[in-house]
Amino acid sequence: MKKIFLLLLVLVLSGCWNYQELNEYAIVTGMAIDYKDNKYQVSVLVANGNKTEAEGTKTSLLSGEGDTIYSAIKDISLTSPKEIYLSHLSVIILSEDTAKIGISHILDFLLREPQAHQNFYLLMAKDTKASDTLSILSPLADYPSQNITSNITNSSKLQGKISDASFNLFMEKYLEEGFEPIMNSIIIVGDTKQGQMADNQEKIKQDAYTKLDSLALFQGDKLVGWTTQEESTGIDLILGEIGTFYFNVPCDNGYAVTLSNDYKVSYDIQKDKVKIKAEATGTLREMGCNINLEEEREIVKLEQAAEKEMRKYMVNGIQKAKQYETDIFGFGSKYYKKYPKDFQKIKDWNHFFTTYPVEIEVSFQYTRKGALEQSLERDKK
Amino acid sequence: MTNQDRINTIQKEMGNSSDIIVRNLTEDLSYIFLESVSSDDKISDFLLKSITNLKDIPSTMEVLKKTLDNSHIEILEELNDCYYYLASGYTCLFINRDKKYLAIETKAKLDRGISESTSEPLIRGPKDSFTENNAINLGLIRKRIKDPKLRIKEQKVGRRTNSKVSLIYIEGIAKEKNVKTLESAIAEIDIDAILDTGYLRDFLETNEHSFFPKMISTERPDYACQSILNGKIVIMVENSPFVLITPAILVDFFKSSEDYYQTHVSSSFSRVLKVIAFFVTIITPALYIALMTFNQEMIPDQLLISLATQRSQVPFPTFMEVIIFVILFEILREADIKSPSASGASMSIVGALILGDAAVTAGIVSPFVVIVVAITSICELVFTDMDFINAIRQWRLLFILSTIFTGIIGIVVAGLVLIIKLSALEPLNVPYLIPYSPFNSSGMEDSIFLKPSNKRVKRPDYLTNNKRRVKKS
Repeated sequence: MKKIFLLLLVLVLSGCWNYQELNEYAIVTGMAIDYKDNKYQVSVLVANGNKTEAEGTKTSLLSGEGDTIYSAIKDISLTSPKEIYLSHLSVIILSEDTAKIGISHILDFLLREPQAHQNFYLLMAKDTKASDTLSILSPLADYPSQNITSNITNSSKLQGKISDASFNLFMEKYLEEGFEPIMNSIIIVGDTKQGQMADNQEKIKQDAYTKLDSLALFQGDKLVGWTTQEESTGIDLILGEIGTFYFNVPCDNGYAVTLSNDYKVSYDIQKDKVKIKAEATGTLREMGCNINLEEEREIVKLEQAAEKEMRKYMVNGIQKAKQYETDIFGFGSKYYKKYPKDFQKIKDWNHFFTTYPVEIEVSFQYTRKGALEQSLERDKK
Repeated sequence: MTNQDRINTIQKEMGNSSDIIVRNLTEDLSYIFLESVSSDDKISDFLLKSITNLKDIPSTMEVLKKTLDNSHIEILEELNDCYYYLASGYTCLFINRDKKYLAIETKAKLDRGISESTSEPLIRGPKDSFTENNAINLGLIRKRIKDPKLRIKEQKVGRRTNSKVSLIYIEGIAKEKNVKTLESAIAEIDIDAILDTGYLRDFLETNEHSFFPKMISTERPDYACQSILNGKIVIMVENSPFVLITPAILVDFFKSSEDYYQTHVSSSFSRVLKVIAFFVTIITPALYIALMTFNQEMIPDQLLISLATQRSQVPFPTFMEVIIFVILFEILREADIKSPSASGASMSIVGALILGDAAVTAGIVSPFVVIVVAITSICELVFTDMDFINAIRQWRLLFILSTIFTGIIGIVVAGLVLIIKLSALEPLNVPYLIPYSPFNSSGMEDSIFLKPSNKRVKRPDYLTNNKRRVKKS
């Protein structure tokens, strides 16, 4: 009896450490950070608003201001009846202004925060306020910020326009010497004001929606420039972070759209240059030219065109990186691993990178033509 | 002592009970019986007919016994012995010239006959079940095991009830040591009444506290026979349709007699399901509390949001909500079992509609708690042994209590205590978690996974020294 009493005492004396009812939390699924007039404006997307009979969950965007991220979040707490709960944060969106002055202390906050899971996505808001991107809801998403996160996962899986945008990958590159991070971006298409209205979600054709866009190039923790869509495909191709991608191969007077789902890239770092070898196989998905697909010669010709096209993307990507003096491909870190002494002699790697020659070798092969043997135009004859 | 003296003594001892019938056939011969437990037909057929055919009354009981057409006749030396026989439905016969007494079996049929098992119904398998009649119960076992080595050891327990308590086992399979232990334990019992096998349990189980039963109780004769054949001992009490089987280990409660009538694959499958149900039914409410109040980060985003919105209407803390509903369900269940079947319909309406639906709409509990309690109780219904179900209920409450204060850590601690408690149990020196802890290869043949009957060669060696079950061809 005494033992049981002591055991109960242990339970009771623990005082319910860490006890918190779920409905006392404001569950944050998205966070946007803007910088204006020397102050940070942090907005959080709270997923569990008041429940109304008809709509189910209602979301709300709360904002706060402060000199630091933490103080801005505490500023939000003043307006919220519930405790801000960051453990289910799934996306963080940074504005251009924020990224230009450096984001190292934001990264520090996110890593230091015990609640945060650190498996969220990092995105740049391009040409818009970061908080606006969070306030536009998609009718296809079940809960807020899900439209952004599932958009990223789907796009990186199926298209190759977007590489992995996870926080962890960004941190890995940021912390590695001779490797500069990149970040995906998000834009608002349409009228932002209209898109923030509640009925935007109910309209058949939305007034505004968010869309994933090109890459933001970083040097250290600072934003230095933007790429175009094509350049970002090239960058992703060199990084080899994508499994599936499509591109248009020009032929005669149209395009042969090609989908590749088997792609490998390897690097051969030398002191005076780097050789990149890319190998891919793919299938035809749309044929716009009138060529005989049953002839081996024509296919080889098409393959050569595809190789040329891929090479063009990659060259563009490298040029862009060299233009901004940022080694987003991590050649520096590979160089360091191979020639540590030589690497130390180079004072400014990013500067050295701009003169570091890159040789690209691409081999491409068609494995299938899809469900059609010939192009439709030819079939008709 | 004359007949009249004897009759007077009996009448006095029994306080002139209204069911005593005395008849003096001649001056010399009288008989007495209790009409409440005796059958008039039997008395006239098997006693009076023989006696009236006699030309003269024999002078001694031995001679008289031979003339009677009845196979159950006892010669009693003492008047005091008569009371037990009278109450058992015997008719007592006195002759003036002899000091002895004759007890002739004239029992009335006071049982309901063999009926289908209600507490452990099966789809595939024999349908009969034990009744309140001791002889029928023994018969149900004897007709299944025709081995002459089948032993039925009877003792009378209870100062007032004088109930027959029988140990049933097969000599050569059951361990002799276990039989002796039980026999002496039963002999030591000094209690006024034994009305059911449940009375015996506390006397025979060792006093380690854990809520888990160390004996199986069943009303299925086929299950009792399976246990006897494996080296277990069955304890039967007069007037109780439930027998006890000992020793019981944890794995036994996941078994059912049906397992051996089906293919081994489907039996193994149903046992695995029961193991899953066992853990689910113990842990689920505690896990819900832990996740909702301490470890929210473990819930996937989408579920978390919907849980948070559901919860926002409920004014009580999560653990209160769970405890309220668990207890409400236990009460409902208790009421459902005890209430006559006529009121069953109104019970289910109250239970399903009021508790399930209205409580959610009124905002007393969140819908997810209803799901949690429903899952818990459905998983509980997989088991048939009432004592085992009670153990599960009690442990479930312990788990809930420990999580209220410490979350997931509480579940881990309670789980450890559960494992330690279970390992400490040793009914008749058999570890409760055998064949898994300690590992036992002969027990593994019939544990959670069942081997096919022709491959299950050995009996478990912790129950018997006679291991071979199937002779290899």
